[in-house]
Amino acid sequence: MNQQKQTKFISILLMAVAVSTMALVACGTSEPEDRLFDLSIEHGALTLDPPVIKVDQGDTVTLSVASDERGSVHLHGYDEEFEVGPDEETIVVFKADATGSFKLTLHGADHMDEKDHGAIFKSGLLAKGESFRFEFSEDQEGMVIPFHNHMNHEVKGSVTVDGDEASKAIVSINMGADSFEPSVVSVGLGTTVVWTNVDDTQAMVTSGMMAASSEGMEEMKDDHDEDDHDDEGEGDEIQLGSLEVHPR
Amino acid sequence: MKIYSSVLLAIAFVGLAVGTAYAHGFGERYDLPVPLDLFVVGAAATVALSFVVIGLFVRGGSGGMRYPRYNLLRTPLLDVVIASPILLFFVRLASVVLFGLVVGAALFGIDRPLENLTPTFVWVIWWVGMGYASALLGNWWRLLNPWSIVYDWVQGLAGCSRGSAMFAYPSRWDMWPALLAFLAFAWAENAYPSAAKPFNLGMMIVLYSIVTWAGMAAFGKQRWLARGEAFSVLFGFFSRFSPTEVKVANRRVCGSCESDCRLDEECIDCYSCFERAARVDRELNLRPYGVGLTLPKRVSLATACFVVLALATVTFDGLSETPLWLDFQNLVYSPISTFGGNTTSAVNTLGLLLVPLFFMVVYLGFSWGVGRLSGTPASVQEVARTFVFSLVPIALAYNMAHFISLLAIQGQFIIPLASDPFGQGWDVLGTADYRLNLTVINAKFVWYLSVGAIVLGHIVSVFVAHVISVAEVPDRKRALRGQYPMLALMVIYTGSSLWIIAQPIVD
Repeated sequence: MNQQKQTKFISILLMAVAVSTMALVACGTSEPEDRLFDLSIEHGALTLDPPVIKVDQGDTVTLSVASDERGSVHLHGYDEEFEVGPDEETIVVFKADATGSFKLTLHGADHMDEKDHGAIFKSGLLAKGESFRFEFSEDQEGMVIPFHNHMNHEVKGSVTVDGDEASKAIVSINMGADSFEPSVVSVGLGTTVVWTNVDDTQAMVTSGMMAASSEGMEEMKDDHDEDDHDDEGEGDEIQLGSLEVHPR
Repeated sequence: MKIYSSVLLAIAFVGLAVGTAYAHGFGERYDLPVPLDLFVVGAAATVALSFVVIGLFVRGGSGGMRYPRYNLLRTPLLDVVIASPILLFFVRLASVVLFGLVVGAALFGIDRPLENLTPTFVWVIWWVGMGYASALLGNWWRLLNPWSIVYDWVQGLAGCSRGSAMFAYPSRWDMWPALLAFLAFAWAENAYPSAAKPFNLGMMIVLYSIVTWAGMAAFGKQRWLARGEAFSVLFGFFSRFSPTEVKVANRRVCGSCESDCRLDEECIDCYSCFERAARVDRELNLRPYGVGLTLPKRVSLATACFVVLALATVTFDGLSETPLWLDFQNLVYSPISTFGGNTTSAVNTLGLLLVPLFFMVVYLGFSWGVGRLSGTPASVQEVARTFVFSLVPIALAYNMAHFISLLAIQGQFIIPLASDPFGQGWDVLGTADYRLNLTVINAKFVWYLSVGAIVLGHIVSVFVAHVISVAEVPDRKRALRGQYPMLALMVIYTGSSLWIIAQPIVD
């Protein structure tokens, strides 16, 4: 008798476990949808609280991203990488076919500016007579871009990009042994600057400044790390938030 | 021993200043936390099934542990394949070649984690994959261990007699060298910020290889594998859960065994005996899952500490990604940061030392309860040494739940890396352009598998504890009463495992 009782008790328990598992498997199935998210990044942070974008598996996701600073946004896992900036909204469309929690990070918005080494242009090694050309567009509007000879840091100059300046097709700069000629130029939009090496030693023209600026970068990075120590290392990557794709 | 461990740590510190902090060594996880309702179902099932299992045992009950075996070496066709020396040679050769490739890529390849074969191979394929293979299939590491194979080859070429050793192994050392080596490994995995850097990883492998070969030369290969080689010991623990065992039929062989055969009747899972035994005496058996954990009678203190340390580090790996740990980090961050250095690493190091101690104290507390309720004359320490293996299935199940998606998704990196192991832009196998497929494993599948594995692991744990208890305590009523504290501990441990996988990942 006692044994029978126990058997019944055990079977009821097993049934209870089974039914609750089955019920869960069946619940919550729905059709895929199109989902649009208007995101804006201010001072390197997403204006979304909490910073989590939630969608369901199979949804078609459209992210429209505006940012007050230039930078590049990376959606981990899906490996979508796109440029953002103040002038226009960047639109990214993808199908959320993989479930999981995927980090959304921002590279370089904080300190990737015209003064950073090689941020805007960088030539290869130029032998005597060879030249390097770069066309300035509205992306550089209003900037004063320093540049230097990477082979000899003492040799430097700067380009001021001014939208009001009369547009000239080409501005030529000669790279001598100890100076650029001319070293300071002001150009309009759509102007191509041509650097030509006129010296016997090889040269390499690079935008930005060398030592001082990169030291500044290190300092900024250290400050950032101290404020936010749980996001160690990862170079100059800032976590904006995450995309959660839930299973159906 | 002191010198040994401090040298290991010192070299491991190379390049500490730079790099990225990774939990579990390497790789990014995209896991979603297990939803609340599933967590509740899992927890409820854990408690309910505990009573079911106990209920079944109350009625069934059995003294000695007899389980069915099936000898694979007596199976037609299969015996020829498994015992084939040519196949064995090529499997070993492949393992050694792979080992060489991994070390070579680490030292001479590109020093970027994702573009070099070594970090993905070591932290995902080998460390996670070998854990799975050991628990689910058998002790593969005994077969594939490149240090052991190379040592054998060198000794064979030099014409040394097998089993030669320069010194007698000090019995006081017990399993402590392996424990220390594992602690250093766990530190590299969980607290060392540059463990994903190929070069650092390469230096650690080189150092560990030297230590391992020196240990083998000094104390004999088998002795060192059983006492000093952390991975042989650890994967040995895991494979006690597995459905395969090696057995030596002739007990005379085991009579002269130096250490491992403490089982009074049979010689099971003793590899030194297996190696020495004549072919006819060797058995490679299939057995039910989990029964291997009931075999060791009363293990040494060092062994018990190693098992608890392994459980704790496995759990810590998951714990260190929860918001709870983040809060703890924030709490202790400022006081610790005054010492300088890498604070996050220091906090994790602290956690890595405190969590095992906490586990040990809790486990000893429950062991005390077992001793009291069962009325055995054994001391708390002896009870702890008797039951320690019964906790292994929960830890294994948690480990599998924790790593399944990492293995399935980050593990795919091995496909492009196989074509370009050194990160030089090669495409040897034509797979260099492979892109990860994130849809191979669905969050829902991961959830059900995780909760299912953890609940199942719990049941096996309860079962193992029951078998040990009945064997240890002659009086049945007392034996059953003595099981309640252990059952309570297992419900707590299983509940914590479920709780951790229900937490969002922060790192």
